Amino acid sequence: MTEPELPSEAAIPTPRKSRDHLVDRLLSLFGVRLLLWFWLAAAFLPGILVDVQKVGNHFDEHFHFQHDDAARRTMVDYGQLPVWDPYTCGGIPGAGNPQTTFLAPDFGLRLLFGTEPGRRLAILLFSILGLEGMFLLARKHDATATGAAVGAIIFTMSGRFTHLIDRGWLNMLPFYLFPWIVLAFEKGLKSTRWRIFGGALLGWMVLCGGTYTYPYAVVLLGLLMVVELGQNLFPAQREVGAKWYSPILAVVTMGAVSVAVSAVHVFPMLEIVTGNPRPVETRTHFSAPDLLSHLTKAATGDGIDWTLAYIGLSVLVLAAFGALTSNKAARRFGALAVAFFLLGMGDFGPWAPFTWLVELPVYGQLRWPQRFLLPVAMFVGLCAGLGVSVIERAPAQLLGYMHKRWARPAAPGCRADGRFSHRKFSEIGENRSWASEATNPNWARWAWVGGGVVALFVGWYAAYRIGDAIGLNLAASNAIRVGRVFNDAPPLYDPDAEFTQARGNRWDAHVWPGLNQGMLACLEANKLPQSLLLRADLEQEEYPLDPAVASVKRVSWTPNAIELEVDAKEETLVLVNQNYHRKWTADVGEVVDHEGLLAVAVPAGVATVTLKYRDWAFEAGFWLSLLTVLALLAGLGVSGWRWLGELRGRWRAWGSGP
Amino acid sequence: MSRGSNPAANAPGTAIEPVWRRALRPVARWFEGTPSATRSDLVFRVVLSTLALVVALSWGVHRYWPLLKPAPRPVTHSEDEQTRYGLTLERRKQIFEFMATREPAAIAAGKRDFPTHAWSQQDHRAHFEHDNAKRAERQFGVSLATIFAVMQEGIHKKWRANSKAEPLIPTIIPLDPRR
Repeated sequence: MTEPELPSEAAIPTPRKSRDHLVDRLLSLFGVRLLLWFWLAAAFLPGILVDVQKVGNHFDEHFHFQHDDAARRTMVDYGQLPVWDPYTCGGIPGAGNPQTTFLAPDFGLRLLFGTEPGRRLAILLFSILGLEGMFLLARKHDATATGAAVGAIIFTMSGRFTHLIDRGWLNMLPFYLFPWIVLAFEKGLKSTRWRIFGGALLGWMVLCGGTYTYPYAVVLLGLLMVVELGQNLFPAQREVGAKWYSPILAVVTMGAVSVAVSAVHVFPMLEIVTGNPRPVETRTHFSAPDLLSHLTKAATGDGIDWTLAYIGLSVLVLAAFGALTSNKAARRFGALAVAFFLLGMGDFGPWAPFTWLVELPVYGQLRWPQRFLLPVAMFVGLCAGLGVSVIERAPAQLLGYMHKRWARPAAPGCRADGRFSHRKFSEIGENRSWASEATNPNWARWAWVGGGVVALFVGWYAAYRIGDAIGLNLAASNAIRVGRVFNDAPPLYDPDAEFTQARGNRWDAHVWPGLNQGMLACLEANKLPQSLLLRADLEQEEYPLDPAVASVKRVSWTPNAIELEVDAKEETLVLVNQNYHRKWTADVGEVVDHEGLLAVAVPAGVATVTLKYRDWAFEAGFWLSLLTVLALLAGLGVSGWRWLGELRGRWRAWGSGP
Repeated sequence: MSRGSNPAANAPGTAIEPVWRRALRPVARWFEGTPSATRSDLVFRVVLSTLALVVALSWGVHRYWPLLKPAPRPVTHSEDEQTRYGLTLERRKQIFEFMATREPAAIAAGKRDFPTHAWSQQDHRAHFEHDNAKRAERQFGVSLATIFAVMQEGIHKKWRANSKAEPLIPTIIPLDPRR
């Protein structure tokens, strides 16, 4: 039998950072983490699992459900993309509406499982991504697995997310991607793949109606870039392999990729945000104690008011402890938490950061500065996670220093930094000298080993109990309990109904798309034009201006195309009970604006008139986004193939021995 | 470095280890956090990772099954004139009357609370309509969607709350959100 070949030096990978605990090793497995995240999400979101067709109570939830349901109906029932949305306000551009979500990857869940179940699955998806992102980010900065999990719990279960879910603002749930953005930036200092990945995530934010998430992410990246550039002024502080301009390169690449990915939404949206800016006049400000109370005041009962951002005073203390006692990253995160807190205080004076921020384009249309408490929760969570890690490591470190001091001589098994680890315990079984055999009697050696095991367990148990207490406390205030949010009866779905306009009611916007009715009385963030001639009592939705001159019959109707049979004795107008938009075209006659109403000037005679809505900005953006996504997928495929090749090389190089 | 992660341990001439010890070596090396250095390491780690993922996904699918296989959304059919939304014409007119008789008060409240902003008057009226629809939901034992569907039917067909009343206003004030 041939002995297997020894691996070459090059084939032996560089050892990774050693793991301290069994828990760390277990949580290094993605499957184990996923199981934990599923379990935590079920504990935080039990209400999403019951009565899955019911909708939330709040009118903003109704508003967002209406948009999602209208988009789903357009895609599933009519087989079109909701580029034009006739269900809202008498007809508005669908793809360009800043808050639209149908282009986001998570909208696929609405398509597959139904509007409301899909929305709830999106909540689950984002919360799990938040947990995983926080965990990875904290681990990157030397948190223990338990500490990282505690940080993830603090961020994911923070009260501001409860508030977002209660209001149905799924377009803001990509705030859960913020840890990934930080991670992508940090790793992107040296890795192009991470820069591109970060850009794709930012693109997801835009596609998900990221009116707040994307601008906030830009602020986050700006601050990270400034901090990193400041550090790069001192070459000794610079990360190995990074250039002085790496932070700028990371931010620019991420920004460019995000625009390319989301061009399908950005291009048509530009027309709306520049032509119909959001009216924002009132500026809010909070005193520091007031804003701090948002973080420290728990919800009472099932109430969820707009100030809820609870993470708890004890967590803030733990975070301060972490920032003071842990590593440099913790201090940086602490400083960033303070910076975002200052932004969250809003327009409190001429030197307030928020006052300056809103002078920038786009930022002037943002309200509610207290939403900056979301990044605060992230950085506080990171500091607290690192604080828990300090506590977890303390007993073993203490024992390590005692061992160095008293064992004779300092045993090779004790690492230079004084930490104990399982790696060393395994050597005991191989008669390796963990505590010097020559100089220490057996009982002393085993006492040190036993002490090490106990110290590791005590540290971990302390961390676990801290995490447990924090999790229970956050769940008591912030969990989406059964009956807390989703209490309104499911809206009806009428598969046979012809589309008509209804007077509507924006407070109960969710009921209309299911009935295949548009909602005239509406609310949108941007002041979109509406015709005074829109009506909810018409015999037919398409009609002649003068019934004595022409007759009109609907042949077919879809959201983006309407086919009419027109019999006109003379040239006249055919009116459509929707708002005019210049991107409507007709194959017969000419589309005109009749007091804000969509109309076609038709010639005399009998004709079949087809009206179509075509948005060149959407189409240009669509192709750019599609090509970008295809390029990203191709890059992913190439990377995967290379990785497999590398693995095959290693497989061949490695022996089959144990 | 432990013996387990040392490739030299596999060199020719090394004493043959018991099978159980050889079998446990990849486990020990994973436990120690040593990078894969042999085929058995890789196989063990792939199997472990896959197993963990399968367990996690199985539990996740089981736990979140109500979302993955949701109960169907209530369906209605509006084609039949006499019975729509599961309600007779008479019952629908009762619901409409309930809502329509409360509309003048809602309009007055809108004008009172927002005397100079027409869109806000309409929006405020709609909020009272929402409150009334909630009351009707309880009184008639049907869903909110049904209440609004019936109300829109009444607006469309120009029903009146009573013989002296006017049909409800079918037009709207164009969007003018407050700052």
